[in-house]
Parts: sequence; C-alpha cells; structure tokens
Amino acid sequence: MNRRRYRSHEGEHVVWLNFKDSSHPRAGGAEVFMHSVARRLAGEGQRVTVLAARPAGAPRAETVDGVTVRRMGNAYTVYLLAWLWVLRHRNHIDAIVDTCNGIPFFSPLAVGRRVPVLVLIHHVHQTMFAQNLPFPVAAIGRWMERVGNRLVYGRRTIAVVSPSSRSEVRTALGLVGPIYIANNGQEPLSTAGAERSRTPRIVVVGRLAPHKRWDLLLSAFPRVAELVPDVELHIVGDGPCRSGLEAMVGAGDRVWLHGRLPQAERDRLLATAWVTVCTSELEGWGLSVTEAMSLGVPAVVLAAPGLRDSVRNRVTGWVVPHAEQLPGQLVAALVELEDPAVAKEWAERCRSWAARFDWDATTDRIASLLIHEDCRRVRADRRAICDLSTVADLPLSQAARIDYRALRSVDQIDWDEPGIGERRVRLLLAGLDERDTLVLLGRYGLDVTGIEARVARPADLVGWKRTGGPRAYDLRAYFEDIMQGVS
Amino acid sequence: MALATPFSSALDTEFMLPLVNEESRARTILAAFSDVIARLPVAGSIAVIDGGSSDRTIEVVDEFALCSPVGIRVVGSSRPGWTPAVLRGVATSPARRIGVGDPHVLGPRANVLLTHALRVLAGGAHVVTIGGNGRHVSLMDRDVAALIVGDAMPDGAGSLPVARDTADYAGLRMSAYSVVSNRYDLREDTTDVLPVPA
Repeated sequence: MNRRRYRSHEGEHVVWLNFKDSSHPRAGGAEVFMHSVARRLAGEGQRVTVLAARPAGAPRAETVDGVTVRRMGNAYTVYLLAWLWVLRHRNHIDAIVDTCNGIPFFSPLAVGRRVPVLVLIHHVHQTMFAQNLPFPVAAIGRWMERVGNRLVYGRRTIAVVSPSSRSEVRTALGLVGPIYIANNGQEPLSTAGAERSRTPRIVVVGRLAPHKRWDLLLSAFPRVAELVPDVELHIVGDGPCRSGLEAMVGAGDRVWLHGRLPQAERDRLLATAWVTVCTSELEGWGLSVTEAMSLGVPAVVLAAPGLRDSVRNRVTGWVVPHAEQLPGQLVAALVELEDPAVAKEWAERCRSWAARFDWDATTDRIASLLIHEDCRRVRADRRAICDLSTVADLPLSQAARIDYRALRSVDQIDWDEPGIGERRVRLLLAGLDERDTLVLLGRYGLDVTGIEARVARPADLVGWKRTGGPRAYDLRAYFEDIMQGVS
Repeated sequence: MALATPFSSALDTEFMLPLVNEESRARTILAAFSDVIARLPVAGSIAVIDGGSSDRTIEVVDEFALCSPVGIRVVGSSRPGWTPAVLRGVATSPARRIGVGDPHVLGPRANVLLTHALRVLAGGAHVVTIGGNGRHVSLMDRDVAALIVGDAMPDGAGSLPVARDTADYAGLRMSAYSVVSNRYDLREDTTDVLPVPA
C-alpha cells in the first residue's frame, strides 16, 4: 500500500472510467475531454484504457489514437461490468480516473487504497435525474450521486472543470475531498478567408435542448431587431426543441436555423459573427462560447454556472444577470461593436483568453492531480482541506530562481508571452493564503518584497499553462533562457 | 453628537469580517456593516477574510467594494475557523483600532454606541465592548487585538474578550458598556485595569 504507483512515467497504466466513449452516438463534452486527455497521456508512453458502455454494433475493444477502449454493457450495466473489470485487474492498474456522470463507478470499492483514484465531475446531475428518468430511478440516481459519492470517495481528490462546478460539488453533493479545477481545453479552429459580417450578426452554436433555453434568445430577438434593424440571427445545431423554436420565428424575422453544419462551415459562419450568445441554464464550462472567442467573437451569456467562468464580464463578453436584461445587453453589445476599432480590441482580448485553454495544459493538470492523489495515498495528508488559493505575481528574474519540481503537483504556473512591457510569471498556490505563499517563496531565497500575493478569484482558477511538481520538468531552465535572452 | 474627546484625524478603525461560502448573503452583510461604519466619526474600513470559499463570495465582495462608502479589502486565511481568520485580518491591518463583531446588531443606536466606544479608546482604554443580550461589538487597539483574539476569543464573534491573569495582560484597560443595563446613557464605566503581577 505504501509504494508509489503513479508518477506519470512511461508504461504506467491509467484506467479511465466513463459512461460513454468518444465514438458513442450521444457523446458530448465529457467524452471530448476524456479522449483529448487520454490520447495525450498515451502519446507520452502511458498505457491508457477507457472503460465505457457498448452501443449496438460497436466493437468490444479497439485502439483509438493509442488508447485502448473497452466497451461493455449498456447505460446501466456498464457500471457493474466496469467495476468487475477493475476488480479483476486491480494489481495491474497504476491510476484511475473515475468520471461521475451522475452515477460514479465506485472504483475505490474495487481497488481500496492500492491505487490512486481521481474523481472527475463535469457538473452535478441532481436536477437532471428528475428531468430524464422516472420517479424511483431518478430518486435512486440522486441518492447515488449525493450520498453514495460521499460514502465511497471520502477525502479523495476531485477534479472539476470550472469554479462553478466546484461550488456545486461542495454545496449540492457535500463532498469533502480537495477539489481542483482542470478546465476544458479546445482545438484551434481554422476559418481561412472568413471575415466579420458587414451587418450586425449573431451566430449561436449549440444543441437545441430544453436546458439551453434558446427560446429566451428568440423571444428577445424582435426587441433587438427594433433597435438594430438589420441584425441577423443564425442558430447552428439540432435537437428536440427545433420544431418549437422554428414555430417562434416570425415571417419577417431575419433568423436562420441551420441545423447541424459540417465543422468547417460552422466555424466559417461563426467567424463572421459580431457576437455569440448562450442562454443556457447550466453548463459545465461553455465550450461553444470559448470556441467563438478563439475566433475573436465575444459572447453575451446569462449568469449561469459554467458560463460565468468561460466569459469574463466586460473583458471577453457580457454576463447578463437576468434573462429580461438580455435584449438590452444585446443591443448595447452590437452598438459597441459597430466601431471596427473597438471590435478589434474585443476580438484580441477574446483570442487571448481563449488561447489559454488547450488540451496539453489539461492533460498536464489531470496527470499532476493523479500524482498528487498518489502522494496523499502513500503519505496521509492530515492538513485541513481549504478551497483557498493564492496568486503570486513575480518578475521573471525571481521566477528563474524557483525549482518548480519542488512545488506541489497541485500548484500551477503561468507566464506572459513576449509583448509590450515586462514579462511576469504567476503562480497559483492551492490551499495557501498570502502569508503562506510569501513564506514558501522566501524559502527559495526570493526577495518577497517585490512579489504581489493576493487571494485568487474564481476567474483566476482557470487557464494555467503548467503544473508544479515532477511534470514541471525544465521550467526553471526555460525561464533562465528567457532571462539570458532579455539581458 | 459632539465628542467629548476629539479624535485624531489619523485614527481609523477596521472591522474584521470572516466569510466562508457566503455568496448569497455577502452583499447584505457588507451593506449592514458599511452602513454603520460609514457614519462613524473616524475613517472606518472592513477587512473581509476569506477562509476558503468554494463559491463566488469574493467576487460579490469585489463588486460591492466598487461602490462601497467605506474601504473594503480582502485577505485569505488558510487555517480553518473564526479565530485564525480574525488573526490574519489583524496581522495585515493598517488600522490603529480593530473592530470585532457585526456593528449592525447594535441596532439603530449603533452609531452612538460605537462613537462612545471610540471616545473611550481614545481616552486610554485598550479594549471596549458594547452591546447586550449576547449582541456586542468589541473595539481594540490593534496590538491588543492580536493578543486578545488569539488567547481569549476562541468561539467566534459572539464571545466576549476576557482578560487573563498573566503578565501579557498587565496594564490593559478593558471597558464594557451594556445597552440593556443603562439604556444608552453610557455613564457606567466598568473599566478594569489589571495589576502587574508581582
């Protein structure tokens, strides 16, 4: 039990438990997350096995991008079959990522304390059980997620995709383990030749599902069109609400429901937008919003969990507190973006923000959290669990003196890209307050008088480039090289 | 109310407000605090000490601070509990006096009571507690606050400062004014000066 099992080295075996795999007909954001991280871990030489349900016609096992995908059972029996698989192979597993898509896999009951288990929660499903399942099953599901999770996972490390999810996990599920944020990444979008539309254009992308509340946007649109007469609305996506939404569109409205479009076509259309909108009541993160930002398109969103994290109010978009304020905010946004120079500034800020989210950083984070959980497993960490984090902002000259491999795996590092002004490095130190942070940095022999330490806000918790600990590799040498280049 | 003892314009008082996961109530709490503090005859401010909120408490505080009539700063405390949080606030406070407890609980006469407490502090007392019915606020010199809160107020904002019979407390002047007993007349000074131990 006291032997370290996972160091993120070549040949180590990571098992990823997820209800669906990326080829599942109903695969969504959680599966993109899993596949993007799993194939990068496999690319580093680790053995990655995904255990998921088997839709009709899908092979029982196959290798996708170096990741072994084993499919078993249906949406309900996969939990038992995957658990039995883990039990049978427990001596050959070095780490487990146990995704809780409402119902967790309870892998700790199969491997005990032998193997580090990282619980991955995209969002809490308490309200969705009642929307999608009949009474007794929904009640069991809610109990499993709320009470079962707490009993089985105890103080194990939890990864969530956004600060909103963290808040939900603490309040709705009452989980007591340390919670860290491993935000979604995204692939760069290609839109060769696309230009911003000459007339005001709103383009939205998303599944036409009830919880997305596109009806709010369509209700607001006529009022927007009154004040911005030539505005267009393009909705890309399909889903169960499509016919209802089509019925809401008036004869003279400049509204187009495109259905699903090929990705290249969708991205080209999105790149022509002045602004995108998301009216969803609940998102784990809001990938469609950050994808639009990567094309320089700011977003108007409702202040819903997930969206409040992916949009920085008045920096990369506008967060609207109440749905009735949506038309007014949309008009204000379109008027502000009418000036091409202003729109260009918004686009630059959006691109810069979206560029912070890439799958390499997410992979780094997940692997580091597994390392951290393995350390905790071997050497019990009895310190009080605290959700506080502190951001330390230091000049490059000081940053080049820190041994990042000596930091904890849960700490994160970010730095300015070359540009105007002095380049600075930021550290996000989990569980430490400002005093602890300065004491820690003082131990590296740094002059802490020039270092600013402040409590991290929710917006500070996402978009970090690297993690501390063993996966920091040669970060110190990297900063030293930059310093020599500067001098 | 005219002050018997004029205050120095440099005198300022910072109220400690530990908050953890109070996103829904933070705005109300801050509004109540700042409503009272803004009417004090000295420069008052609030130190919000975040003990590790997982929600958006600090964002709410930041938003409130933008239009607050009094200064608000945020400091973190990685150690759980009220006492470590207040000690963090005291240790980082630039103010001469520290306020502990919610001044809003003193009711409509909060301003009168706090003004009197400040006058007593300016007159040489180190700790003044005002209130009644379990609702009270303590004002202290900053250096004394670090001692008192760390030693003798372990149970949160509801507890009263206690002078211990140790050398550290020698010479401290502590006063208490009960809202209930004297109905705001504030004539009864219960100052207790501890003797220096032999």
